[in-house]
Amino acid sequence: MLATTLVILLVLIAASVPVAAALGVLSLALDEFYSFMPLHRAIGEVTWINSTNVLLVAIPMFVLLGEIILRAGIAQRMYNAVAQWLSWLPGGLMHANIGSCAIFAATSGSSVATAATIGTVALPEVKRRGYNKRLFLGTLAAGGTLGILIPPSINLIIYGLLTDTSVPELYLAGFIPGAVLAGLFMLTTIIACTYQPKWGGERLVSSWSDRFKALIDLIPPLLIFIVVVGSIYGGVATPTEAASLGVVFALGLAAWNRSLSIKMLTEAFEGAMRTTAMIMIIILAAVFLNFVLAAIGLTRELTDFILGLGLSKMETLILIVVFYLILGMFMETLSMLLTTVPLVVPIVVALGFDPVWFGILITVLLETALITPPIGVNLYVVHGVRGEGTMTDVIIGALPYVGAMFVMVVLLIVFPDLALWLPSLFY
Amino acid sequence: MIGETLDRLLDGLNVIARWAVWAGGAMMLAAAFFVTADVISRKLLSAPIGNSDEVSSYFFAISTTWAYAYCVLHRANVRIDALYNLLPRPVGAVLDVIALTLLGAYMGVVTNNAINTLVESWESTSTANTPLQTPLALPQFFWVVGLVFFLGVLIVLLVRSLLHLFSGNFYAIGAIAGVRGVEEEMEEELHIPTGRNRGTGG
Repeated sequence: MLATTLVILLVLIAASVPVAAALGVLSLALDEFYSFMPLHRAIGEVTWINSTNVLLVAIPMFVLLGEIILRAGIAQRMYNAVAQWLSWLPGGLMHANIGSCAIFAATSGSSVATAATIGTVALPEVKRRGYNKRLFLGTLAAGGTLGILIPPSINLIIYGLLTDTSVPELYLAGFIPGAVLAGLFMLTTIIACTYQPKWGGERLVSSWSDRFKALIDLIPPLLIFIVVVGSIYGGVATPTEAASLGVVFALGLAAWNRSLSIKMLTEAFEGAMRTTAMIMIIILAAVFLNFVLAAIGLTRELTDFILGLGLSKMETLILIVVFYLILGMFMETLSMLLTTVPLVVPIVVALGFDPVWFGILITVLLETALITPPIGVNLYVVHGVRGEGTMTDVIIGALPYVGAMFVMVVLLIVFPDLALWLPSLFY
Repeated sequence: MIGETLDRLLDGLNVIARWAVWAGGAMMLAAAFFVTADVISRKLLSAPIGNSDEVSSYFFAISTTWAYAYCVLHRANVRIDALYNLLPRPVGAVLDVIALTLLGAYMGVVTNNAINTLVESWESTSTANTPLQTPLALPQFFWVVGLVFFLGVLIVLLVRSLLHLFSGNFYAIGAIAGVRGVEEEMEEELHIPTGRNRGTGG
């Protein structure tokens, strides 16, 4: 049963069948082969119940929020302000890339949106100031991945749904690892540019008065962050409601910046609904597959198999980490999250690991997947925004930051409290 | 002859799909305002508006199925192209047709059962277990409309692709049902021309 499932899934995925159809056809096949009852008759009901899941309403809201921010002219000013503060470090504007990504990540739930937005504002600086283009591209690809670790995060909502874990708790758990990882990225840049000073390009000269004046441009993203994340922990709103508040607030900011128009809105709608449909069609297929896997007892069979290998707790965990690193080279992250979490999390929980902690660990592994070739979505995004040169530049530039992510994975395993301390204060 | 008719039909479906997405986006924006008003009224007023979570979840379900057709017409479905990109175009074209067939088969099962769900709600006059007591058949009807439209678009795309396949127009299949290149995705995402896909065709 286990082997059949894996073979069907791998063949369909490798044959570039849309991931939603691959998961859907797999569930229908498993139902046909192994189930005593015709489970497919429940697909309408299961799909309706999950289509109206209030938790998932946060997805279109966060995507729409990102689309509005992208078009509201907030990102460019924010980048310039961060540059004033950080570019005295060895590596100059590359720290502004990472810092801006981290701040943008705190208003956005998506890594692609983060890399694309900051990449668009930052890339004109590479030539103008003589940076090492590879490392510069690497900071953007890697910095962008912070989008799914620093709350709000769409991936953590999906993880919460699939594992029945509290999303506010997952969000709290993401803060410190997100800050530590941004710090590791900056440290990597400092080490690289101390070793090769000419990679660092021309520094931006700024005075303290310029710096303080620039702070005003950080207010819009800060306000969005306060509205969205603050309302969750202030007990005012659920994550879904917080996302809706963010949409309304960002629309107000866009109007304030005079970038609100019918054209801007229809573009934002098209972008947001396309992304939502793309994500939801896979989620709904994955949820039904989850239902079938549990009904035919496959989840238990896999857990028993892994536990029966007689590996120690830590050996199993390392095996899982390696599995994700390899899979992440070839698979798109959302599909990877949706196909593996229903199978892997029961094993991890049976071993006695905390599901909230594992949610953060898996998110860092997904971030790694975003910048490891040949399939690394953020590599494509940065390469696409750049519009010239070769893909290899981005891949090589991102490698040092893959190293930083490995360090983060080890830190999370050795010090689980990096993720669990903050939630423990509240829950 | 049939091909040209189908192409014109696809143009028409594209227009409808775009309007459906605008309507869906407007629904979500309306939901965002409703939820915001609800949250504020809950904090400030003794009589909160309420029920915004239920209404927004119906809007969400409906706007999602209404956007499926737009998604497939823009070839935005997630497909893993690690192997696909290495294959010659004729093989890729066959994979595109298989992809449409399997997506159509799966969505056919979903739509069929969704219609059953709707019919059951209608016949048993089920209402939501909430203060609003929404008759479930109402939101489910609009939800099913999106699924049926999506299935129709998939069938037209499949027939068109099969015709192209029989006449050997492998690149034409790529243009309506292939995996998207990164460049086109970027242009759509950011509305900036990346300047790399000019003249490459399909």
